Amino acid sequence: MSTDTFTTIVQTAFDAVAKGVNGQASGPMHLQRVAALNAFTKQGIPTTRHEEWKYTNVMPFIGLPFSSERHEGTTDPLTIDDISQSSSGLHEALEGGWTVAIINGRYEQNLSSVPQHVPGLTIEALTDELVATDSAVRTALGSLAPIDLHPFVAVNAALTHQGVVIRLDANITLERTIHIAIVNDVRQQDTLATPRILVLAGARSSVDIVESHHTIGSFTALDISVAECVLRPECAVRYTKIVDAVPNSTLKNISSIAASVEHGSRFTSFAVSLGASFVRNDLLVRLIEPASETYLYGASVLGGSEYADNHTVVDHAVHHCHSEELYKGLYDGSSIGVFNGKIFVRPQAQKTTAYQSNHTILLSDKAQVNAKPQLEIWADDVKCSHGATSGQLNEEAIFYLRSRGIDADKARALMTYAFVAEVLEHMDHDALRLHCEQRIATKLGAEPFAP
Amino acid sequence: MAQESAILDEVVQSDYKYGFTTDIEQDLLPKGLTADVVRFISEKKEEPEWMLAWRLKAYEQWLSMKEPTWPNVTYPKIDFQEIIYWASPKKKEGPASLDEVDPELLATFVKLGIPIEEQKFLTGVAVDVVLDSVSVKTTFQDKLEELGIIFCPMSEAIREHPELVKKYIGSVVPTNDNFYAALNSAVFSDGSFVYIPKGVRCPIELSTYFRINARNTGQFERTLIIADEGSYVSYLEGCTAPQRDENQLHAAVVELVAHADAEIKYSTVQNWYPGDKEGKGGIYNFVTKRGICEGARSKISWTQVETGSAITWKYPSVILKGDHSIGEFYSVAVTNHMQQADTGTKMMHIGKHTRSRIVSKGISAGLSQNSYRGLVKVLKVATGARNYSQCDSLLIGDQCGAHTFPYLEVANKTATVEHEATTSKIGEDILFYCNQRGIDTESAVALIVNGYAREVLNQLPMEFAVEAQKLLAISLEGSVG
Repeated sequence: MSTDTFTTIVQTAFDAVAKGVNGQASGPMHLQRVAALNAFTKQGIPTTRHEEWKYTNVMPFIGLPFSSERHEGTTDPLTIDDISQSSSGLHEALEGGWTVAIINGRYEQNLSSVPQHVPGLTIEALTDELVATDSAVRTALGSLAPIDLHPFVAVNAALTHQGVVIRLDANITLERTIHIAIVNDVRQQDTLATPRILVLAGARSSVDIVESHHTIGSFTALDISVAECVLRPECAVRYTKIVDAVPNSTLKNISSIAASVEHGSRFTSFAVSLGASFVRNDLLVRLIEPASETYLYGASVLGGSEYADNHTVVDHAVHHCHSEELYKGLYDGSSIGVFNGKIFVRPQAQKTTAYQSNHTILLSDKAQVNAKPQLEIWADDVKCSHGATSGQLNEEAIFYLRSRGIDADKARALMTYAFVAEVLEHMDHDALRLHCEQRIATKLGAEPFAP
Repeated sequence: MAQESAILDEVVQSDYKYGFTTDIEQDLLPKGLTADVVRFISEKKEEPEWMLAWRLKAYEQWLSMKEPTWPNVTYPKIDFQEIIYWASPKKKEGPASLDEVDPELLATFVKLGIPIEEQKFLTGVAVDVVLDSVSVKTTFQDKLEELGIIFCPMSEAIREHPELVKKYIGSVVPTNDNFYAALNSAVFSDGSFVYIPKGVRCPIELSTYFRINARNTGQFERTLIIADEGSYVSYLEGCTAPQRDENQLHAAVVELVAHADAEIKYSTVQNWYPGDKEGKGGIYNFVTKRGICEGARSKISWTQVETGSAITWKYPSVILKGDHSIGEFYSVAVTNHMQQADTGTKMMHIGKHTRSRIVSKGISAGLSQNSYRGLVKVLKVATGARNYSQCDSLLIGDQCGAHTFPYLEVANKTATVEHEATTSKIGEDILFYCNQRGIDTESAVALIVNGYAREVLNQLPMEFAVEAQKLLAISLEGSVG
């Protein structure tokens, strides 16, 4: 059984981590690992019979002989150039930003370009010692993405080792972008990595964070990542997750991003999926104080046999909050796209406004889309709506373009590009937007319009 | 605001109007379900051997199945061995005319405001009255016979038209389709059978009034409607039930088959006892309804007004198999007090250029929970499929819930699927506008709710539309005119 293989792999990896915790075996972090391992054993690997995993089939790859061990010396150590090359140009596009390199799930300071003396900003490794001594980290870790959220969050928590903590003090506005480059080195073997990110944004702070996932090598990478963002009052966090691996990458990314948003704060998320054989995004935003808001955007452009699955949950826990969601997908080849968007309005969350829309275009006979927009409303004084469509390109519009002398292929590319580019218009980060536009245009064979 | 809450209070306080029990002597089988009970039912109904075998197979399948837990409803576990699976009015002389029908029964219909005579003589609706498990009276037989239309109780159809029943029963809802369908297949008591021959347009609206009438009897109706090539039929199903304290299970199966160019219009007004204000009693309505558009250019349309039942769990569906076939679903579901409804539809696009349209309007009040759950599935082969879905929820009061769970699965690039949903309450600004125009709050609420449900009510046949509006009014008394 492939599930047994994976359970054994997780157990072996856990034992390896446990061996290295020196003196912290009864520390809070390790206790959480033990609890997480139990939670994973209890939940098991989700099958498509599980409602939240109805369309997400992990079985084809879960039985691979993944390893989380690193064999030093057998391959050349990675360099910053390697990371840059694997990022499909993102690294250059964010020139001037700070890079946080996470290699096979571990924060590597020597490959990162983390500033030492920026007032109000600390970027440090998430270690057992830090969790034991720092109460803010201890409280936040695992509180937003609890181990019972789903089995892979439990796997991540059980194997968390050398994650990264990004801390922003109150009143700090960062002009530069923090780029978290999650690189899976699979030159030697099938690899299991469990990157863990914790973002603590102080009151009235503002930051742009970009999380990207890549592979180097041709073996399969199973990248189970978890990011938690705590937004204190009146701050703004723009969190962009990009999966744009090199062609033929075998990246399987199961990602969970969870945020809690306090009074007057805004959490903006972009999920851009352009290339990876398997991506599952779980995005959970809790609006826990009045006047908080969240904006969630997603763009998936897939081809070949790629798979991208966006699960979003917006939890309106209190009154007077606002959420907006726009996800678009373009699916070519035999790719499959999934969108599952849940808006949850709790009984006390009166005066909520929540809007969601999801639009898809299928470009080939073999592509598929499964959408499940979902509203669960327990309060009456609310305005909520969702819309979902799946269709094809407007032939009249294409005809119009052709009548203007643009050939059919180009006209199509232009139309599909424009369809997805609408999502990117909401991106305030110019360099990042331009990069994404270019990548999408390249993938579609279109040329982006000059801004 | 105070006035509004007074009206809402009144809504929440209103009682079930149709609470009464008809006292007719009944034959009861002891509680519980065994293979022998299945044999007894089959024997009692003088069924042929193949029917018994079919029932027993379903029973075997049922034994191996688990009760579904995925709907968004909660209720105490049902003990299927505590249910009486057979109850029929004691056979007196077969009633040849209305005079011979039990006067208690006639009185029941008078109380319902639908006297059978009136139905028969004034509206021209043929009524196949099902009182508990046995059909008591079928009217307008002669007129229908002339056209070759078969409209009779299922048990009679099994005896008289075995070739048709054998061919179609279980062809749309297989015995092992789901837990309740299997249960129904094993123990179904009776129901309606309709066959419309080729090219015939049924001149009258066929109608069955169901009543659940004996204590602790599960009602297991089985309805089968076949519209042969080029035919048309409109079928009405209406329900009201007496008030009682113990929960009752209703697990019906309805199968529709539309051949090429045929059209079936199936309308339901459901007002079974919803339980009292504390949620005590009430009917569990777990129904499997499905139609298949077998031939090209066929059409099946479901229209439902759901105001009753403690728990409603039903998804009238259409399998769009024939090219250019059409499926429609129009629904108004009202829940009040402690009622729970998990309802919606499934549209399976298989044929080319198939079209479906879904309009669902949920109204929740009191402490009730109202869910829409729907699936639109476009298979790879369904070129040019088109779907439009709209599901809106209206919330009255701050303790109720409205939920939507739409599933869209598209595997064909030429398909166009649109879904939209909104949730809101009756806006204070809208009420204020009405007040300002001289319309009092009560009439304004009535106006808004009526307008909100109009799109669906318009789909009902004339006779039903009137009743449906009455039922809406009773369910949300005080706010609906």
